[in-house]
Amino acid sequence: LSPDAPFAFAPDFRNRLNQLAETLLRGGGSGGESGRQGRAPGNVEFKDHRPYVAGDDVRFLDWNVFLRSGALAVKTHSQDEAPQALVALDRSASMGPAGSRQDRLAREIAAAFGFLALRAGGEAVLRCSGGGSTRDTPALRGPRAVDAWLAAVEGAPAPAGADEPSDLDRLAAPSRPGRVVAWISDFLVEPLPAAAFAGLSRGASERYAFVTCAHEDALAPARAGDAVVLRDPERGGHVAAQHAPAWKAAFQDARAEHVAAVTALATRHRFVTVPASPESRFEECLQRALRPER
Amino acid sequence: MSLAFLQPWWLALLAVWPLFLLVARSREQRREQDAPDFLLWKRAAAKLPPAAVRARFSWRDLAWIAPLFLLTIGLAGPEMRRSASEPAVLILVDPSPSMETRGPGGETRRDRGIAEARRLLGSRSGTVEAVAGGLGETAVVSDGAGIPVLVVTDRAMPDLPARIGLVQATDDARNAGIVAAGFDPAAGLLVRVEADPGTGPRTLTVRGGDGREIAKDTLADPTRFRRVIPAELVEAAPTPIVVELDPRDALALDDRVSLVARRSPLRVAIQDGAPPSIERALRACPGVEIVHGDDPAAFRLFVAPVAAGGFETGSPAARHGGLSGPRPFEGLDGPVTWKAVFPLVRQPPGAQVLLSAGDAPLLVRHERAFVLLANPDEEGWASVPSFPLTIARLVESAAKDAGTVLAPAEGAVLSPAATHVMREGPAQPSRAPPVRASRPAVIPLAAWCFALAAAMMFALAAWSARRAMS
Repeated sequence: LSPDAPFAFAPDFRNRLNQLAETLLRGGGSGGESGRQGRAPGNVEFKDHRPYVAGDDVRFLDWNVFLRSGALAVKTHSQDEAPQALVALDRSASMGPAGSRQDRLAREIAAAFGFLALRAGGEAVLRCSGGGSTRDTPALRGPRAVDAWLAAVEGAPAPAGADEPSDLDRLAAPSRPGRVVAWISDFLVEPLPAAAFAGLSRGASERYAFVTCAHEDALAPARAGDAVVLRDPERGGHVAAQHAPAWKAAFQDARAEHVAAVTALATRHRFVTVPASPESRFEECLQRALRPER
Repeated sequence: MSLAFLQPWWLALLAVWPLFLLVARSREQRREQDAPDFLLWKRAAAKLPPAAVRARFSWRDLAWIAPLFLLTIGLAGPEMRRSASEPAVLILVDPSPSMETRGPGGETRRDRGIAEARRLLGSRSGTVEAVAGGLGETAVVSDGAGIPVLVVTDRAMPDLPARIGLVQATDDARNAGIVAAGFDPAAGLLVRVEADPGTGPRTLTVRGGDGREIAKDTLADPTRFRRVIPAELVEAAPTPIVVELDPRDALALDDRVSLVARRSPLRVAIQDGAPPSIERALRACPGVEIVHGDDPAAFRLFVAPVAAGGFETGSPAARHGGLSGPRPFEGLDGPVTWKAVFPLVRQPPGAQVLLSAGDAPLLVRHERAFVLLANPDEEGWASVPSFPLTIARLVESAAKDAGTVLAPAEGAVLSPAATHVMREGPAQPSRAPPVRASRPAVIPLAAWCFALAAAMMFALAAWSARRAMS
């Protein structure tokens, strides 16, 4: 995918989202337990039944009630009054390039998180930061807004520019009941954005941090043994590396240390941290984040 | 074997390809690459020694320029040339008897000439060959065919081309020899002796087979001597008659001649227009001289009808059956069909039927005349083996009446040219034929280079495609 080409999810992406939602509703996930059946971002507790009205998602029809009484009733949940998923998507150049595995995984996680919120009748907002700006998409609500949501994620700007401190400061949002925050970034910034973690944490009741260090191997295009001049796409720095096992091992160590540091920082701010490796699939990331026994 | 190039300037391109590879690899090494996870690489680099930025070469790099190398070499037109080698020198040895003349050291001119030829050629290879025909002509023809030739002779050959080698094996020998020895019943035994000037006196002796001396002459000057010995003296002596010249000299081959009794040639006269098969069958018999026409001294062979000689012929009558005669004729067995036989109506006195078909005579002899009463070509007899056998038996029958002659035994040298062995004029200097390099064999290799380059390109393309797919 060229940097100028618009991003698009795979044709089977919608099916994968539905399967993920079904899995989570059945209490699935990497934990495999169903203590909090029906859990989803902003939609986590069964509350009551109410009469079915046109437009309700038929998947929430309670067929047992229908069989017993012949009346259509849908299930309601404890937090479906004002749930909002705030998806903060890092759009700095370190998340790219456009269409890369890193970019795709980040968009898929963002889309899936908002999809689950909308499917549960909640609200979803996409907040893109990077390159000196922070932009929010209009808030979308309810299952009917899923397509618009996916289009909004697809239309998010391609990774470009650097992570500026002002961008990170603008990530914080006013406190709101039922707000769930998902921050999707590689957090490759020095120093780590502790203030941004704190700001986001204050305004949300649930917090998730997806550390998407899923970059493709920068040494792969070079031949074994060759030197490679690596350039920083954000700030233009250079470093001479070598396609050698020692360099790969040192890189893996650096990434592990980085993920550990981010996890430690996020945990201090009550974030659930999910590291994503180059081999990760977005379903696994969501299941690990939303699993009951976290 | 050596490698040569028709257009060697193309080879200068060979130096370009490694430079091209070097530049390409250097550019590849200096090429920058965006790393989104630059921060992690930067941290990794902080823990490692600086990366060596230099071009590295592998066999794959060489594989990529190998087709270019092959194409370049192919454009240069490589050729494998087999080094030129001189063909073996053909040493032609004069077969004349004078080459057997022995010099002061006891070696023959032939042996000395061949040794001199070997010395002249040195390390060059040579094959010795005796010439059956003309020596000069053979040498010129061989030389024209590209074969270096060296002639070994004792004669002067001033007209021999200069590029043909020559060894004239001569010496100061003088020779006297018997150049003719023949017996004629009417004239007697004729003996001729010739000698080189200054040979010295010789003694000519004629002996019978029992060793008895028939004649003896002392030749003060044997340069040219002729002697006729009466026939009765010779005929009275047993054979072989030996004619000797003493003392022996450098060429012993012509100092002694023995005459042995041999059957004289059988002369057979045939008619003009006789069936060709008759002449063919007669020529197949050894010792037969064929005369066309009428020769009173020869045996005559006629084909019927015979008007002269008292034979009368009647109308032809077809007869079938075997052949019979006073003597068995081998090869006559089997059916023979005679379309026409001319039976004798009356035979002259003394006529002898040698062969008959049924009750009709077929071959009749009357004194020195043989009459064949059927045309073998027309009757088909000539196409069966019995006919030449019959003619052979006819010749055998007639040969009993032929006389004998005294003839020199086999191997006798009776030739004035061979007897005079003295060199005339100064000997020609020996010379070796010039070295004649054979044309080198050339094997063009350009096509192989192009084919190999194409194969390597195909293999590299396939390998790249496979790598890209994987």
